[in-house]
Amino acid sequence: MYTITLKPVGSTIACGPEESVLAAILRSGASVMFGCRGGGCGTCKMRLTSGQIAHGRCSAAVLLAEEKKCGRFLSCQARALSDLTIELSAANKYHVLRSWRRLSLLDC
Amino acid sequence: MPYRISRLGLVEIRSLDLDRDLDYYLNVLGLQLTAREGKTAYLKGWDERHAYSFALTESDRAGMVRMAFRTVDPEDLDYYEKRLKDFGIKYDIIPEDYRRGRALRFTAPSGHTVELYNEMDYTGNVLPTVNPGPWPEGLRGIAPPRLDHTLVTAPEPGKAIEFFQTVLEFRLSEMLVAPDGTIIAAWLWQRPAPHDLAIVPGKPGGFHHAAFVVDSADALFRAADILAMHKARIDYGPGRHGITRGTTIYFFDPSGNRLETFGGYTAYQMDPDSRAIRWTQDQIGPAVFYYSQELNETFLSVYT
Repeated sequence: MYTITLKPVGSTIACGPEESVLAAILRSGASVMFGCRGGGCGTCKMRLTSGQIAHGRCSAAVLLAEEKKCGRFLSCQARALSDLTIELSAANKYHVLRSWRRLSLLDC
Repeated sequence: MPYRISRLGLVEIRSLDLDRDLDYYLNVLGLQLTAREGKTAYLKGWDERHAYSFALTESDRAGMVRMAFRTVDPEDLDYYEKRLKDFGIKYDIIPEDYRRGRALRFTAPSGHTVELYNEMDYTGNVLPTVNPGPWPEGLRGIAPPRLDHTLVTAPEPGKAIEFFQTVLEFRLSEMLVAPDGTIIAAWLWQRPAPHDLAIVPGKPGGFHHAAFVVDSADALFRAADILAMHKARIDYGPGRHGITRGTTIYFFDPSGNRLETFGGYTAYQMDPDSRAIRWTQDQIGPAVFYYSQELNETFLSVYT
């Protein structure tokens, strides 16, 4: 298991070696913007600020080579190869689900 | 005015991994494989009579390669060639393609490659032609009988809609209009069904979805079960559209191309004198997703 730190919210989540970054975020009880979940549409694009990932199979039309160099990746395809720090933007629409908080008795 | 296009004859889309995606198309969606030729696989629904209606080509991206419409008669191809000339539309003649005869190929104002053709090998459906039963046993996956329509995006949808209406003589079944009366999106038909093609706002050449017929409530829920059992990404549904009244499941193939099961049993039939239904922009929620009555985040923003 690796640890993913999500900035600027500061959440930390666990990510297994076989799951995508997107799957790990959703499994943590959060909602985040994503689309096709197949690497084709680019909706789930995020920015890595530290750590190593395997990009997986992504459309070259929505994840350009120069974007990869700047740390961009498609979260539905990418797998963690180390602990990661990800800088979320408003477009990622990340938020912890209220129902999940209730389930975890975090915010009754 | 007679109609000269019998159907949406072919949609070709790109696949990021043909082996993986072909397994999905054969065993989850349940199309029939006609042939695999190099980087392209040719497929069809079990009730389609011509050699293929859907092609998957391996590429470094997802999205649409082309759409092709089959004319009713061979002479209709000549008729459209004259119209393309009359309207000054540049076109190429494609003498032949896989199991297909002459085609006219041009770029629509929406940025899409469009072809018109008439001849394609008539291979028959999977049933016998003498004393057939109503459906074949032993199909895999959702197994839709046929391709129904495609929906594509255009940066100036009004121009693209006008092109298909004026040059290719499609008619409008339904349209979404802005408060000032501008057409924002349209559903276009030639065969007597709600649509063969729809156009919504978006990037040039964008592929929103291709739809396959799933024509009963039983089949609709069975399709949703199969998608979920295979952990396919369902975007919306099972549900119903206000526009066309058709039932729907929107889902994605493994490369992220959106597909749809479209319900014939609730979609009406067009008559030659049917006039277009108008939907106002403020009612786009129920127009697209009748039961939730709200547009979701992905409908107009996620496509390939």
